[in-house]
Formats: sequence, structure tokens, C-alpha cells
Amino acid sequence: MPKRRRNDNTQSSKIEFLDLNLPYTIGESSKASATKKKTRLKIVIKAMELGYTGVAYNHSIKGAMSNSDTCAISLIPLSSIVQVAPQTLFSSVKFHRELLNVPVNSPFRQYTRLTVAVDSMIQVAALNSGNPVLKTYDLVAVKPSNQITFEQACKVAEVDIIAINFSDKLPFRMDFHNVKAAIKRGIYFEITYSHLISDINARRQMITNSKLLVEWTRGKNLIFSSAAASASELRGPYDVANLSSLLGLSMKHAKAAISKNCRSLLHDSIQKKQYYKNAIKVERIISSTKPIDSKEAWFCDGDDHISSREGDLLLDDVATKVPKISKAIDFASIAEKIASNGFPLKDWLSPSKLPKMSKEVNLASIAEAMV
Amino acid sequence: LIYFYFLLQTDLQLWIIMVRFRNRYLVMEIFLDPNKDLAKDDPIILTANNVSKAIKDSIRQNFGECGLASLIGSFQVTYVNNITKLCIIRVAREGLEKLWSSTTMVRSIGQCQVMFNLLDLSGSIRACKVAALKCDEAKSEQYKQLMGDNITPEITETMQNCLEKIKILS
Repeated sequence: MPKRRRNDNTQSSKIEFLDLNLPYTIGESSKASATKKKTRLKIVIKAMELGYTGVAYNHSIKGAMSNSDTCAISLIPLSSIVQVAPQTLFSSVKFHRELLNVPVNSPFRQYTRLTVAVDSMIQVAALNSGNPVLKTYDLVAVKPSNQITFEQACKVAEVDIIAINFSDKLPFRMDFHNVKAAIKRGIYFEITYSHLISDINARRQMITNSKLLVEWTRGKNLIFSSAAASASELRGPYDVANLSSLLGLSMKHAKAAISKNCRSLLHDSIQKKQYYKNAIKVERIISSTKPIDSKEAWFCDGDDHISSREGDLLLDDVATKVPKISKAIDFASIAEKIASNGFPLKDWLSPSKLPKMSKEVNLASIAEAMV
Repeated sequence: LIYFYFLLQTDLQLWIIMVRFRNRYLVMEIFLDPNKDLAKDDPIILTANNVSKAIKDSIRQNFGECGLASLIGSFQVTYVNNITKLCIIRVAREGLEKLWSSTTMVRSIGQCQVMFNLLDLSGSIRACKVAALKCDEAKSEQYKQLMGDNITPEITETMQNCLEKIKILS
């Protein structure tokens, strides 16, 4: 009991803002894909600057899945950000994070997400926990297009998010029972705000449609995200929370919808993937030099599966690699220390219980190469 | 004694004014052309006039003539710094949500694509001044870092003037 309470305290003190819908498309020709990559990079840099601590790249497919749909989304490495980013990125991110009360050292996380637009019962039936394609993504979302699929998505389908396109006339009727059933099962509803900003005609439809959803959920199990096609459609976290007040949400629920709800959604979905029936996790024990404390190894800290991942961008790494014009704090000596041990800086700042298999080895080797 | 009484009277009047008109002060930064690669020269010059015009257009588009009319009485763009792209907006407490949503939905000033981002929200001019000074100084450091050696003495002088302007705001 006391251990759980302590866990809750640490979770609530970390403020995080996550934007869980950045569209990811594959270009047909190599030139198109290069421009798309560049756009995506710019959006990610903007999100980092605005104070977000995590994004999810959303790959949309229609209808039936095939093996070619397994996750091929490349997470953006630190090197490409440093190439494009302006020199002031580090100080700008630090400035915004301090204003938003986000801990400056929290890493910027990248997740992958799949959105399946379903038309019929058969396609919905494919969205179950046995589907191997779904397992390759961190988050799975379903986009129902008629009444039957909506009901099935709420009651049966094993997904994390139900995404509905609110900017057109809704092709089905949302009713309270289905929404309630979905919330009971732990599914989150998503509202995207880029249509409010970009398209004047779509604003009206969007507000009309999403007001219903907001009234029924009252902020519970609701997340906001941008489906930003370009960097100009992104907005800062508190600005988004205020936009949701147009839809009838109170400020407290609105702020939760961009931070706490997103975080618990990620927590739940990753837990579903790693654990069998939410209780048993299978892990490979590599004989390491450190003896694993047997008690700690059995009781897993629930926070750990979000804490260290591939593709985490640490702010201090950004600072070291960007060529500095004016003098700043000398991180070079710290970077050398990191390279020799192979552990990221944040491990030294926060005591970790389980021995972490350092997946950030590639970051450390880049630091070594540059320094 | 008479002098003391006089001071008390004026303080009382000021307190009555302060209590009757409750305002909110937003410190916002403006991102110009978020899509383009970083260009060292600015597409437009930000002034209180064009910022306030853009916001008023957005209010009229989203909340109509009556919405604009109810906000415009207390709405004022108090301070704009073109170099650090910072602005302070004052609005009555009742109109805060509408105004804030309208500024979030502003897409362009003139021909240039912009993006507003809220840095600080406060209820008194004093707190607003403190926050704005902090933000302005941080942003001017970033500007200096960006420009490197290209800073002319005029720019530093304009920055100093702007900082002075914040300090004498009331």
C-alpha cells in the first residue's frame, strides 16, 4: 500500500504534454518522401520548442491490413534534428519548459501509432489482440465510418483510441451507451484540433459534433491532439486546453486531456502489449556483471515501461552537439563521461531500481563521435 | 495629517478602480512563418496596430460583431517588441476565453503566416511586468545567440528602449 502511494506522487509531479497524432505518410517517389521527411522534422522541432515532451507518428491505413503494414516508421534520430535545428533550439526549449513547469531534463519521446479506417464487421474483427501487425505499433486507433463499426469498436475491438473525423457530417449516430461502454473498457476518444485552426468551414461542424462527445465523456478518457499536416497548425499545450473550452470542457479537464490522459493511455497500451493478461511479463535475463537483486527483479515498477526507450532525445545531448556561437555551459566533459559508461545522464539524476539494458547506446556513441 | 488623509483618499479611489475593472494580461510570443526555414530577416514588422488588427479580425470571424463589440472596450495590445516577437495583451476578465481562443486561431498577419503562443497569464499589471521582463530578456539572449556578430548598436538600443517601456507600463 505505501509503495503505491509513493508511486502516485512521483507520477503526478511530472508534468508532461503529449501530442499523439502527427500524420506520417510515405511518399511515392524519393523526392516526395524527402520533402515529407523534412516536413515531419520541422513539425517535431516545433513541438519540442513549444514544450511538448512526446509525440506519436500516426500511420493511417484503410480497411484490411496486410503484412506490409508492419511498423516501418523511422524514429527521428538526434543527428537529423541537429542538422536542421536553429542554434537557439536548446535555450528555446529550456525557456518554454521552465514556463510550463515541465522538468527540463525529461526526454522527448517518440511513439508510433496506427489508425485503421474500418468499413465493415470483418475489418473490425481483425482488430483483436492476436493480430501481429498491431503489435508492432505502440498505439492502435480505429476510425469507424458507420453505425455498426462504431458499435463494434466501442464494445469489442481491442484498440486504444477511437478517432472520429469531426470536421464532416458524422456518418453515424453517437449514443451514450456505446460511449459509456467504450470508456468502461478503457478506450480513449480523440479530438483533433487542426481543423479548428486551418479550415473556416470545418470549424462549425467540428464544434457541433465534438460538443456531444465532450458532454457525455465530461473529459474522462478524452485526449486532444493535432493532426498537424505542417508546423503552422501546431499550438502550445495551454492554447489547446483553452480551445477545448469552446467545446464545453472546464480548464482542469482540458489540461488533463493533453497531459494526464495521454500519459495514462500510453501506460495502459504499453502495458497491454508487454504483459500477458496484465499480470505476467516475460523478460530475458542476461547475465550481467551486476547481480540482480532477486526481490526487486520480481516486483516491477509500473513506471518503467515508459521511462527509457529507443528514440528518446535528451535535451543535454542537443546542447552538446549544436555548434555554439556564444559561450555556454561546457557539457563536453559530461558527454565524455557518458560515452565511457554507456548510460544516459538522467540515470544519474534519478535512481533507477531495475538494471536498465541501455538502449540509448546509439546516442552515447554519437556523443563520443562528436566529442 | 491633511497630506496623509489625501494619500488615503487617492489610495482608496485607486483600490475602487482596481476592484471594479478586473483585467487579465496575456504575455504572448509570435512565431513568424513556422514553415519556412529559418531566415535571418523578418517578413514583416510587428507593430501594435497590425497585431491588434489581426486579433480583431479573428474575433469578428469567430464570435461575430457582438463578440467583437463586447471585447473591444477592454482589449488593448499594450506592448509589442518586434525583435523578440513578444506582445502583451490586456483584456477584461470576462472576455479572456474568447480572446485567447481567437488569438490561438489567428493564422496570418497581413501576408505572413504566424502562430501565437501564450507564455504567461496574470491578473495584475505588476505580475505581468515581472513575467514580461523575464521572457523578454530570455528571448533577447536567444536572439543574440542566433545573430552572432551581426548585431548593430541600433538593435541593442531598441531592445533597451523596449525593456524600459515594459518597466513604465501601468
